[in-house]
Amino acid sequence: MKDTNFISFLNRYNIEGFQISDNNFIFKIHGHVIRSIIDFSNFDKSIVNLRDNLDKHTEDIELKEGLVFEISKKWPAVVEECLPRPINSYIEWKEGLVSRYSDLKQTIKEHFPELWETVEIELAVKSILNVKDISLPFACILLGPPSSSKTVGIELLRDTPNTFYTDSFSAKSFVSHNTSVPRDKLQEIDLLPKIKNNLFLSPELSPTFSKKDEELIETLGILIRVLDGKGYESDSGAQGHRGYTGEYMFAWLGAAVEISRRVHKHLSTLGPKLYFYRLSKISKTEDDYIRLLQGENFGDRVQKIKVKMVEYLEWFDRYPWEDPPNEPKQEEENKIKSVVKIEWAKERDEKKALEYIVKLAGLLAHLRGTLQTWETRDTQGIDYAYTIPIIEERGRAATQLYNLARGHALSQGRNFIIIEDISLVIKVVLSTASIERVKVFDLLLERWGRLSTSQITKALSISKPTARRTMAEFKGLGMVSMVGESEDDGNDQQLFDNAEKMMTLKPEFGWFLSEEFKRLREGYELNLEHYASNISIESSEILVEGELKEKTPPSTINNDNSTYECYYCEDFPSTMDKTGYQRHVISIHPGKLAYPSKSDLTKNKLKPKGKTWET
Amino acid sequence: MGDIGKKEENKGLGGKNSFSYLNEGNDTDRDEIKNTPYYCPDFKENIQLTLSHFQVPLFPRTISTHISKGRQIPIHDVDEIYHEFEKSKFIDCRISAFPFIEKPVPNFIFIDLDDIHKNISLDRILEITLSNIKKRLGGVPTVLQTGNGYHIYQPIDNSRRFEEMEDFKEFDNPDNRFLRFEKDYLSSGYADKANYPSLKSCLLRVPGTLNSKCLDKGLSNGDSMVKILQRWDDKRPPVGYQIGTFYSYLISEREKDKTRKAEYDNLFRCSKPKEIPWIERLLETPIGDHRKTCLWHILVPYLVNVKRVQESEVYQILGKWLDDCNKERKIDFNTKYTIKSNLKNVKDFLPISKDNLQKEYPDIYKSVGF
Repeated sequence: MKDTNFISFLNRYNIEGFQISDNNFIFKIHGHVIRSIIDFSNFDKSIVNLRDNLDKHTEDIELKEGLVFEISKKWPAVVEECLPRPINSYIEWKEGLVSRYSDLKQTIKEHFPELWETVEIELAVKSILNVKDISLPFACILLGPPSSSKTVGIELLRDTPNTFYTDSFSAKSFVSHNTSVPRDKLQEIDLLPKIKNNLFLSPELSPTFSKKDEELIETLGILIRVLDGKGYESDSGAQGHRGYTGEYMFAWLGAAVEISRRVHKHLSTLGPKLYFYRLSKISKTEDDYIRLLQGENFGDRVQKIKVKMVEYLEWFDRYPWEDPPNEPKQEEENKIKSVVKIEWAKERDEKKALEYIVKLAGLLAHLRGTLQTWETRDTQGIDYAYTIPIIEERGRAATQLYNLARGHALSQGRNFIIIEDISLVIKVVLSTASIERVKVFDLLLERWGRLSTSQITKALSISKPTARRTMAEFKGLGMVSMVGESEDDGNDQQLFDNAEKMMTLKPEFGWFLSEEFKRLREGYELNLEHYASNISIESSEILVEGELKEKTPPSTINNDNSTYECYYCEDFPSTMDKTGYQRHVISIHPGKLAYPSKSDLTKNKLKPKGKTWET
Repeated sequence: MGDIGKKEENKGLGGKNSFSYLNEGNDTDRDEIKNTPYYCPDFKENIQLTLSHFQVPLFPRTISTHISKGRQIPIHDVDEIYHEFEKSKFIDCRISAFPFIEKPVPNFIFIDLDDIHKNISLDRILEITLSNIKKRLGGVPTVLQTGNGYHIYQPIDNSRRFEEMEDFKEFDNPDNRFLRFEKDYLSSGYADKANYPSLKSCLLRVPGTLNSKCLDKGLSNGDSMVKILQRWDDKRPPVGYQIGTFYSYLISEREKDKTRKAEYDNLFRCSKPKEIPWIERLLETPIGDHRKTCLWHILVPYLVNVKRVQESEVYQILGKWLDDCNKERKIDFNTKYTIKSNLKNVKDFLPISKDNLQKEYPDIYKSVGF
């Protein structure tokens, strides 16, 4: 804003050191430093502040008026220089976001390539918070060996808006009953209100999951309840009844080295609400490490990524939304910034993507099912029996996986999912089940859906009895059928010894053998060279319609059952969302009517759509 | 009223019809009365005093009087002014603050303070206003006591119209807006809202003349007379002393207008065409009076902006209604022209609300059968 006229004005009146800093006009008059607060959204207020400050330090009317005049003239430049321009349309926001997403990815690939998969899932989980109709918390734990960059990824989001970071917490801290704190102060230390509508970041969960069984069950019990998104209430002798009810939406991103089998066991009993993401193995050569040592230091590389991350997040939060923040008072009390909430265009979701999510939810339900097996040697069959399995109903998993896909889509500015969003979901599904089961499942896929005991023992380096127990487990989980010795299996029969058993993947899991699944899996963990295909399974349409529903979805749909179609473009799909329709017309078709009457239709040569207002 | 008041009584001032200004000398010591409301005994002196606030050219200029009923009369010298004022028995005599020329310059601020505020006294408002003028302009203005309140005359030094200044060219009508802004700004918003000064119409009462409103209230000539409470200091603060404040006001108003327009536009564009039952009822009710009012305030905005019917249909609907009205009482205006003119100017105006109709046009309200 410092053009020649302005500079000569400052010189004429001996105004020294004029600058705009930290939302203040700062300058010196007659030896006094004046700081005047600028409210970029309120010109009047800024000028009044300036005049009041000038009045305090000088009686020179000409100087005061001159400065007010000059700054008023320069106001658009001041705003332009210091404040990001408001984004007026969804399209502009989306384009900007895609470009920043791509910049971030590029920077990471250049400086820290292995970090990208962490960041991709982090942004997807974070964006779940921004989908308007999601009220079910999502918890994702990154699993990876030490130094596998999972913590670096979480650190990138630390101190960014709408996040809450902690290195350590106890499950009881969600609602505290600490006796050393007065009851009226307990609210200040409770964790639950702090993470509400925020991304909860906890980079080290290994100690939490390594506790003794009793403690672990208690911890998981509380976590599972909190992950219902309905608050948490508890009682103690010391503090009596305490807690929170209502909608307590949050997203949780944690990290741990590994989750033991017993955690999976307890989770499947308590309720499988935790999702995991196992980081890919880093395949670097010695030369790669030498280049790493010779290159930029770690801190500088991370800093470059952090800059791009902040640019991306800032742009994301500039989404041109109009809705008021939820419960502003409480958020203000907790110093929590309201989260951008973006309307979801369900009607634009790719049907195929939804079908795959349902299949993946089915697979996950089976892979993390619970059953007990025991040895029944010298009886017929595979020498192991099993109890009736506990397999979760896939509706909830489908909802959560759908939400994750939505988060992934929204992290790239889309408010609808496409097939490409499924890759991440596949990785999460394969990471969420116990590693042992996934290994066997992968082996099944590798062997075109047929697997014998000896193949398992060889591939997984386990004993035959263990392999047979695993087969019993898979059979019990309803994923495979057993091919007995008495059942003729063609030429393969001669390959097996007397104890050899063979299992085949059930037809309903046939999609996982397909080329499409392989492509979407993006080579995650396994490199399958062979595959089987053309195995059809029954249509999942009913499940798509019936089960992909949020547990308590907030209604975003107008009650009058009208559908809204744009009169001016083909791009806007028919919707029942009145607000979304109006927003579309206002932002995309300036000056046009959202509800044209019959005469408006004639006058503007518009095609009637048979709406009630076309009278 | 002090001694002067008594003197006025002695001079025979005592009734709207019997008043005559005695053009005779007065030996009253000016210092003695400077803190007391006064007027100059020689009436021409009062005219001269008023004219002293103005920069050249002084003439031609317009005046208005009680008998001109507010109409402005062009005059060319002091004698002519005196003559017109005398004809009006010195009642409601005013002189325009700006010359009667093509492009007068806004070099005068007029502030009208009335005693209509409940929470603050008129004297306090005057105090605030004079303090603002001192602080913001460094000015000492003329203050007249008009019987109903105070008039403040603050000349300023300005030789150019705002519309000719580069920085102000982008704004609509900046010269008149300057006069209106200053009256509100310097009075901290207490100035009479009904007073709407412009370069063409900014009429100043002259000391020593009578205020008909006071006479109508039955006050004496002495109490109805416009008197000088404070004379200006003959210093014209430069217009530059307000340029920043005025400019920031224009910027602020423009931004507010943009927001208002966008909000209104969105509201309008997202409203469905609908019918308002009481206006539909009015369309079926022929009336003998207020037909033009109904067209402008109710029917045309309704049909265009609420019901959103086509223009040809508007002519048809209103033509029929006016035909029916004509049977009630003959219409004395060109109906087609009136509808056309209303259609041209209706913009995005909405019809008057039912409540306002009841308050402002009770006759129409009754006609609709509320």
